[in-house]
Amino acid sequence: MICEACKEREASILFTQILGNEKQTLRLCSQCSDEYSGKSSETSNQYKPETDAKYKPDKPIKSPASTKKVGVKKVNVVIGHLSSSETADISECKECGMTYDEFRKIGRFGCTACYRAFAPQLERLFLRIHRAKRHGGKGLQDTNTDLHEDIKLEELRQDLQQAVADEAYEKAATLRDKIAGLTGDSSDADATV
Amino acid sequence: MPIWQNGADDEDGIVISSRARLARNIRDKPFATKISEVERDAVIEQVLAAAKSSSQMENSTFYSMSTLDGNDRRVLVERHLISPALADGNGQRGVLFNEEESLSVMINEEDHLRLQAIFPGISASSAWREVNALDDELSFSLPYSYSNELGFLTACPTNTGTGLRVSVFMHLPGLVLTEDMERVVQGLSQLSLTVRGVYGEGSNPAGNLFQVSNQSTLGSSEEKIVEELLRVVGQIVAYERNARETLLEGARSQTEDKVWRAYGLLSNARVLSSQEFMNLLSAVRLGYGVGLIRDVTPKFLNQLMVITQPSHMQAAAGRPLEADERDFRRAEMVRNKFSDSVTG
Repeated sequence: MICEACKEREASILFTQILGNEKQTLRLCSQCSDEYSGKSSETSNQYKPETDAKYKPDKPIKSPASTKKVGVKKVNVVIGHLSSSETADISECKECGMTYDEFRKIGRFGCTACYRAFAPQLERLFLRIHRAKRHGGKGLQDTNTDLHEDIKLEELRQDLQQAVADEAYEKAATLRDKIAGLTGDSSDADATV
Repeated sequence: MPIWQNGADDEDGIVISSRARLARNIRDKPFATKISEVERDAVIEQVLAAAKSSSQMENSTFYSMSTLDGNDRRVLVERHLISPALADGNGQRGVLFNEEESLSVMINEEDHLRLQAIFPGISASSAWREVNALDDELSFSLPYSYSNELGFLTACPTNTGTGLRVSVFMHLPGLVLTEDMERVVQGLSQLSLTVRGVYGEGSNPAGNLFQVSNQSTLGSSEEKIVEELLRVVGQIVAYERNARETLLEGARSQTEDKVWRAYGLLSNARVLSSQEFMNLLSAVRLGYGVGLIRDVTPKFLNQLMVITQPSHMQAAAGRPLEADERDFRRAEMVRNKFSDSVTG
């Protein structure tokens, strides 16, 4: 699916914009999503769809005047990644080259990093297979922190999605900052034991 | 002979053996679908080096599949040391096992490592403890693929988390004869457990031998997985005992006749197909379980079950055998063993 903002790149992110009492969900590419979520904050007035040349959704949130009202709550957040059927071939493991489509066909991961590459789609899969999504067994002292952080990030995104659904905006803002902190610091260096 | 064949402690021989296996991978190596031959060799080298420093695998033997012919590989499958997937797979792969054949490590199967412990009787807890201790030792020198949230990362998502599959091999002729097995199978699927025939699929496999295993590997602790499986196995044992009582109360003479006819055939037949042999063996095992026959033991029956399988027979003959010849030789082998067991 094409990004609803730039109309050029593939959409991979489900993005929710809450403006006052109105809520709109958009399918965006990661660049547009970064652009919008980076500028989002409560009572921010930086995001002006009516003046943004790139932003041309089919049904944009109306009443642009509301953005000018002082004190109107406005939150832009990434609430998740598009499901496998919507993203089709765009998920690909950078380590081994396996695509999510290929994984779905053969039912086997190509390497450790596939878990990171396909993380958004996996939670539902694990719930279906195991009726659980978290490990409850023995641990390992020396762990792959990169992977750990990426999965943590995914969980924060899920919590954020829930906070938005519950309209808990302060919590959503805190979670968003935590996500920003993690993504800002993350490096892809492979740790080895 | 593998230790699992020694037979169960329980008098009725319902549980034949218990197995615990762990799926593990090395973090910086691609999994089976993406791994190169050079990386496969490196995995084997890494695992063998780690196993050397393990107290449990000190005196172990390593077999590379590339050095074994097809029949020798099937012998290892028949002894429950390796999976058919390892025997029939491609690329550099092998198995490491201890003297008692109770502990083995398959290398480069679906996962880089498949650690397995197998013991006689209801010993799932001991099997788990053994395989866990080996896992702890190996984890010191092998950088496992692991995340705090998802646990051990495996090639197949059905093993993610603990990577633990616990299986109990059960002999359930009572439930099959009273036609209650179907209900048990359905009940187990509700509990995230699976049951399948050890030799053939469906609710009526050869020899009435079933394997009950946990389905889910993520979310629960290993101890809880073992505990839950043992709880259900305990229930199945109770159902099987009830079914046997029903058979003896409602159809005692027919049951006795079935058991003794089987004994007579095994002791005297001149041609035995694998399927017929397994079913007769099941009837004799039932006879032992309900106290009708006392001159055979579970150990005797288990050993017979392994040595009469096609690849073991071909290995003993030192050449390939056609099915007809195998059936003839099988009958001869069984007859001799029964004769030895009675006179011995």
